[in-house]
Amino acid sequence: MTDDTDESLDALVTRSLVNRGDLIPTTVDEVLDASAEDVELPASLAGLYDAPAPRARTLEPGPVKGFRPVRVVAYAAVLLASAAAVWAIVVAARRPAEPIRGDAMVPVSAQPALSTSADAHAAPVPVSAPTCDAACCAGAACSAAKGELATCPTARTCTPCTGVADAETRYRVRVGDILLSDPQPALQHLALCIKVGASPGAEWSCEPARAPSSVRPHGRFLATASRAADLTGGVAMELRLEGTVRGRWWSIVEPSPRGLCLGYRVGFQNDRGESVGTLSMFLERTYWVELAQRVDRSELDAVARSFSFDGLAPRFIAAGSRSVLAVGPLDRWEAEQLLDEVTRGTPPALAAGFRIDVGDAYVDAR
Amino acid sequence: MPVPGSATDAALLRLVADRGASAVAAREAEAEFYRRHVRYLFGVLSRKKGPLLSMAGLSAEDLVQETFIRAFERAHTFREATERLSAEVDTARTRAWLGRVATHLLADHMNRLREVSATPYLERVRVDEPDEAPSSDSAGLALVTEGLEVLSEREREILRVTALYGQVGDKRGRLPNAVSRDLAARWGTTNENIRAIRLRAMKKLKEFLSSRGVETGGAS
Repeated sequence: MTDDTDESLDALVTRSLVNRGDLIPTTVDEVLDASAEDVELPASLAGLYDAPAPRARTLEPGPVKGFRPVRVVAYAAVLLASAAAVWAIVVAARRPAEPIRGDAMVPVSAQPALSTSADAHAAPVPVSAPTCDAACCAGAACSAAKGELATCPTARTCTPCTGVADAETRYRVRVGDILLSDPQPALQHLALCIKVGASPGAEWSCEPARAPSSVRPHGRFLATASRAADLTGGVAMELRLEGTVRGRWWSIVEPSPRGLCLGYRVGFQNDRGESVGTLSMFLERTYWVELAQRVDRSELDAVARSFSFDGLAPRFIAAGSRSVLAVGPLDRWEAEQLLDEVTRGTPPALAAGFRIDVGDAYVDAR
Repeated sequence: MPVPGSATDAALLRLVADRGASAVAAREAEAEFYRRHVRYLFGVLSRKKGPLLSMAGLSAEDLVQETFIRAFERAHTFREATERLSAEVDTARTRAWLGRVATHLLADHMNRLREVSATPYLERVRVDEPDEAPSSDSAGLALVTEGLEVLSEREREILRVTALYGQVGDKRGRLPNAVSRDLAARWGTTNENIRAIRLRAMKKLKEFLSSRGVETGGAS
């Protein structure tokens, strides 16, 4: 193409596209011509580098140092969400429910149910955050939780002492940003690969080890929820550079109240046994209580008005060709408790849509 | 000791690069550098970059965050200006560098180089001195800007993407295969036709300029 075009015209087109705002200014002149300061920063960017570096909590001795700033935001969000959830539970326990609002676009409280809708119900069905009973071991809502288990980086507010490692219980593996022992430039291009389970069918899942969390604003999750039995079979991670394994880690990961609350420290070693890097791994909640599914997303707004949400925000999630109204993510025991409570006393026509899903097909639901 | 707000951008980036000497100072320098430039960068990335960001699978926020991360990783390569500059130009110089980092990241993402290890476009960023575009006469620029409006959205988008790869140093008009394929799929045409559409768009522009009494070199 170059043969056929005029270089100076190319330069003019580029400069013109920059001036139009189509391209990013990359020269001093272009920057001086651009005036773009008067914008409001979104919450995800405001103060991104202002927060103090968090101290990761780990199961193994010694903290994982210096998560990257994007991770700081993720942790801050998690802690804020945790605090909000605790507040909601406390409020719910002290006085009759005053339903909170969910997504801004969805009026879910204080509005009459649509009598014209087939999904409508005379009085809104309460959908309340699960309560925390005495047989708990970790989380801010658990009065028995002590010390470092009193608040959980995973935002769990109530983790039971038993039953968390039942074979079919599922968790979604999330990994934090990797901290390399020797951050040579070449190592910036590592791929992080993860495999859950010891079965022959277990597959590696790879992506750039240093991909910023901004690519997945809520953290980096495995696409498929993992069974506790598979986690117990072993989780393997590798750091690969152009197909060569530069560091590896493997461990049996048996879900426990402590692990669910604090996460796990992953230490990579090379073939000489030298430390290559560390990251944190978390077993996150992955259960959703689906309240309704519709092909037409707008129909879910009417369905949502049949519920009053208390301590839980309704979510509208794309799942294949359908849209789902759901609350979550929750742990299995929370989802089962919630499903049981919400089903009780609900007209069969409305309750027919209730189900629990682990969200593998949900889009952007983390 | 807190990082003074009067420190130059180059001084801040030196502190960032010298993290081993003081992690606290590096952290404070990052915060100050970020505070100075994040609104600018988010502003330019939010403005009409939708199609490019969409092709790259990024949001403006994603690209802002990644740009600062990469800039701090490369802080050691940033050099103080060799001549005395006004504060305004010095700031523009830093922002031009950030713009180049962002543009190269965008090129890498559009070229689907997210899953493998390499980010070849980013590696090409000249961090010592931002490249300067050849000076362009403002009358010609205004006419080209007007001429772009004559083109269809498809033609403008193809010019936009090829210009982006021109910015990152690819031969004018050449696109990586993956990017060309994406464009073709986006506009329901073939890979080969992308090249033809660009040529037609440039020809239209030349004809537009010619009709206004401006001749450009090169056959069309």
